[in-house]
Amino acid sequence: MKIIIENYSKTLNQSEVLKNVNLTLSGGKIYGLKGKNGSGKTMLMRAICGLIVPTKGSVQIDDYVLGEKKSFPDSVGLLLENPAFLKNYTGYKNLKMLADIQKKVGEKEVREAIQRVGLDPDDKRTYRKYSLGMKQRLGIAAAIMEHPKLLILDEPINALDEAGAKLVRDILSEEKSRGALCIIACHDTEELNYLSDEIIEISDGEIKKTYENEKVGLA
Amino acid sequence: MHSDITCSRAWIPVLSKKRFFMNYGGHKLMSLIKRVNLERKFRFILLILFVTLSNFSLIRITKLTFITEKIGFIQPGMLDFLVNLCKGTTEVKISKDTFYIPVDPGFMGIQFLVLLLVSDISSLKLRGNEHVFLKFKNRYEWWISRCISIIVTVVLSYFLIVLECLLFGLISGGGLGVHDAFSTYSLGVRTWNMHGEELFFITVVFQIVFAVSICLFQNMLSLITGPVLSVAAVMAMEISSVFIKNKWLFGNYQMLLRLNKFVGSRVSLSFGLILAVVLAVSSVFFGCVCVRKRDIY
Ligand SMILES: Nc1ncnc2c1ncn2[C@@H]1O[C@H](COP(=O)(O)OP(=O)(O)O)[C@@H](O)[C@H]1O
Ligand SMILES: [Mg+2]
Repeated sequence: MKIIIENYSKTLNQSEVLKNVNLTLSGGKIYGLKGKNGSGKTMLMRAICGLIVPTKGSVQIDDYVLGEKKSFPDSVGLLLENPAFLKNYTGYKNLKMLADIQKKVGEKEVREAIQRVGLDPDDKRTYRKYSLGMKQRLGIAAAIMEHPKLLILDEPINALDEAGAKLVRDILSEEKSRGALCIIACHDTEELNYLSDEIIEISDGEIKKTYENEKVGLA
Repeated sequence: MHSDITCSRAWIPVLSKKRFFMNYGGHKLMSLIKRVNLERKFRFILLILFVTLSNFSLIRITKLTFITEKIGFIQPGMLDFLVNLCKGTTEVKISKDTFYIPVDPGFMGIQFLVLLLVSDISSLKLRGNEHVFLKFKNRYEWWISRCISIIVTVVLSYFLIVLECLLFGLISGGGLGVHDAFSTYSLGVRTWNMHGEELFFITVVFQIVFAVSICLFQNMLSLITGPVLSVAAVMAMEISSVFIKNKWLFGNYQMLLRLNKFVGSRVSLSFGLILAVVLAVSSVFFGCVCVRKRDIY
């Protein structure tokens, strides 16, 4: 899997939120987006998913350009800030309904994904009664359950406790060794350095620099 | 024996079509429709309650109207209930040039509740639901499946309405049909030169066509203005059609009291149907155009 972003610019309400972004990302690596609040990390993620349409430039994934034949990447798992699940259904039911849209995976994989994030698939509580951390975990489970080739997690450990943060690290290293391209954003620099292979520094919608992470945190 | 074989052969394309449907997008659609309608449980219940109230009031009217005559009660049948729900309202002449238009809560209520059922299917569901959105191959597929789930939801709601009127007809003893004397004098809709089937088509199938068309239009509008404003705009159109007789205002075709079939020299149903189909198709088309460049953030 390879993602090539070329001269990508995006203007929203007269302000340029992404400025001439050029990036090449390849599978089997974890990329960490680093930057202050409002620097455009989430916007870059939306751009890679094809959720926003570029003012200029393009996103190419493997052999297709987003917005031509396909609007979105083929196989993508996404967690953005506060995903909306159905409030009156259990976590399992929510994910099962999502999985049923494409039918790529069945009951077994859904249960597996829920267990991987440390939740109980047989939990009878509805999503409404979930704590913030549990909601975040369910969001991660929804992103990973179909074993996507591209995994995008925005602030995955924001609401998580220590054990949850460790789970995310494990999940990321597993997904990476499976060959997935992972992109994460995190405002905690230490955590980001620990998690990612390559760091992309972004400020005011511009890529300042990208560099290989020296400390290899994950095996 | 021979014909048996040809018979089973004839089924093969049908079966494979079904499999084709399920493989390519069918299950996507089914699960989306399920998802959409599970979220709308309470609005369906509201609709059912409303129809119940409306039907009860009809039974009461029946008794009042016929109590003075010695022939006994006439209980309304299924079609009477349906006619009552979509009869609408028209002006009543008081003198030579003064008239008033009585309010008909039944018609407005049904329109509003059906609109409410589908009001936020498209736009509100973008933010926070990116993970659902990305399950589609492209934006058009998403938009078309939204449109189809709107059509299904509207048909489902009318199915519930008909089912309830059927139950009322059976329970009250009025049966399935229409009682001409009753519908003419109590409801003001002259039905005596109509077959039951024809009446059923007008009170159900045509109503569905108009409702679908309006809902698709609202759905397209909500891509631009958001759901609240678009519902307000469409509702304003419906309400103004109560007071303004104009062949371009949709509500005029949805009220039986204004159709040329029943009262003569009123709006023509066939023109309305053409208008409805044109509006529906162009809404779907404009939606495609809107959704192509739409940012989801
Ligand atoms: N709906 C919007 N309209 C206009 N600008 C927006 C909108 N949403 C976000 N932005 C701007 O985009 C920039 C990047 O935001 P974002 O990607 O969410 O930052 P972060 O790095 O914190 O994730 C910010 O300057 C923000 O003001
Ligand atoms: Mg962000």
